[in-house]
Amino acid sequence: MGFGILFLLPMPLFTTNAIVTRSLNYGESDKIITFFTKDFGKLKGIAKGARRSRKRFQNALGLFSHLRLIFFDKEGLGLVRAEGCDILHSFPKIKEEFKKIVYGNYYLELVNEMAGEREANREAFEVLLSSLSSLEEANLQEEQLRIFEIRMLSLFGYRPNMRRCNLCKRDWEDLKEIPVVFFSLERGALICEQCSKMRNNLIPLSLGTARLIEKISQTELSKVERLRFTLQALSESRELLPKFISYQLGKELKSLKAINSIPIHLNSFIPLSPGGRGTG
Amino acid sequence: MSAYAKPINHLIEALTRLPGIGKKTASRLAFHILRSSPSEAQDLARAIWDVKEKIRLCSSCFNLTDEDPCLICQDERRSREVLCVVEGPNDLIAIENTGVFNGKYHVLHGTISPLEGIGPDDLKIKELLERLQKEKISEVILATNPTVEGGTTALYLTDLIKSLHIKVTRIAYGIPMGSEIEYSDGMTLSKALEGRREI
Repeated sequence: MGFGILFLLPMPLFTTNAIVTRSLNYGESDKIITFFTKDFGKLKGIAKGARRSRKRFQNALGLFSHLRLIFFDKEGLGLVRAEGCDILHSFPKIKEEFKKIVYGNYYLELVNEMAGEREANREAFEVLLSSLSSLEEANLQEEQLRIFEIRMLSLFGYRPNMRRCNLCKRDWEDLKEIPVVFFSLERGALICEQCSKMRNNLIPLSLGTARLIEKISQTELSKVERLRFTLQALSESRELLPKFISYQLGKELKSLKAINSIPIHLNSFIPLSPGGRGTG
Repeated sequence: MSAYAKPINHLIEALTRLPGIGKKTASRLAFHILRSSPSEAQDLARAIWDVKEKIRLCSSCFNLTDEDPCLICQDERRSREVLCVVEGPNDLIAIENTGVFNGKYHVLHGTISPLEGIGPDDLKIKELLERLQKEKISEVILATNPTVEGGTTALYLTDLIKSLHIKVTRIAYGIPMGSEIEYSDGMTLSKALEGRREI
């Protein structure tokens, strides 16, 4: 087969639903976009002329946009080429409130960091979409954020093992007389008080919080918001989840770092992490 | 090994590092410089060096300038009561080129972008607040881009500036001049309708 024939072969064209999770300007008029797609997982793509185009990508490639994306993908190349898109929803109400934008950025970064490229995860896509919808429609609740963290940990394979002590294997029933257990960041699992001695990277938590986290990991998305956090569970999961996420990813999320530089009166309802200045 | 003489090759390589310049364009530019008169080549070299040597930030508005304060800040004919906040120096130039705005500016040098780890401390926001407390400013126009990051920055600044009891406005957005309603996206159209005004 001659090179001329190879040249004439079209690049494969695909269509899928996608959420824009990162958007960077590139060169004079292009954009490099990270999409979390329904059918292909995380995809990085180039949108040629996106900053100047008034037709193909008009106002569609901003963060949070839920799109019907058309792209070319030549196997072996890292970046796909965005060819066009239709906006399905751009979450305008998130963009009207500073604190919602901050929460939303954290959602997007979490997905960006946890998702592997080109690994489809339809459930994670649905969770992200419905979490952004809840963020847009409802008043801010810290519970939403904690549920999102637990669901994503679970869906991307980092699910914390809360059912029994990871060392002596005693389960909740055997541990119910013990007021405090520990979560080991290294093991990603529960450890009882007896087994905790001489071990590092442990976070104390109550058995109730461990049970709640386990339950949220397993419950259907539509029913998960019915589960209630006690104040103790909220405070313990705030202490545990961001640290566990950072430990698993091997770095602190940028959005958390940026949030910590926001003055107290503005971030008082943004208790993303115990290190932050939010009060919860 | 390159067929060009070493100095030509060096110039091509240096030009290739500029944005939007590929090897072919760099070769063309290098040969243009080679064919130009010595004074033209020296002018070019001096202009590049001057930019690096002389340009700094204005201590008041943080625009790029070769004298401090910058010419706009020095201009007594401009209103001191209205301050236009922009993301970068290029935005300032774009607004200045309209010839419509007669107030002063403040350049933030970026936007709040939690995803990129850029928070308020990374921008000239603290300096803006100090200015608002020191100078007699009655209105702040937020001219950040209508992007998510530009909007985030505008929302953040609105809260801070309002607490100082200063009027805050944001530039209007909607359908660009010369374009057609039929081809506008829903978000742009809805913003245009929201921002309509009586004529």
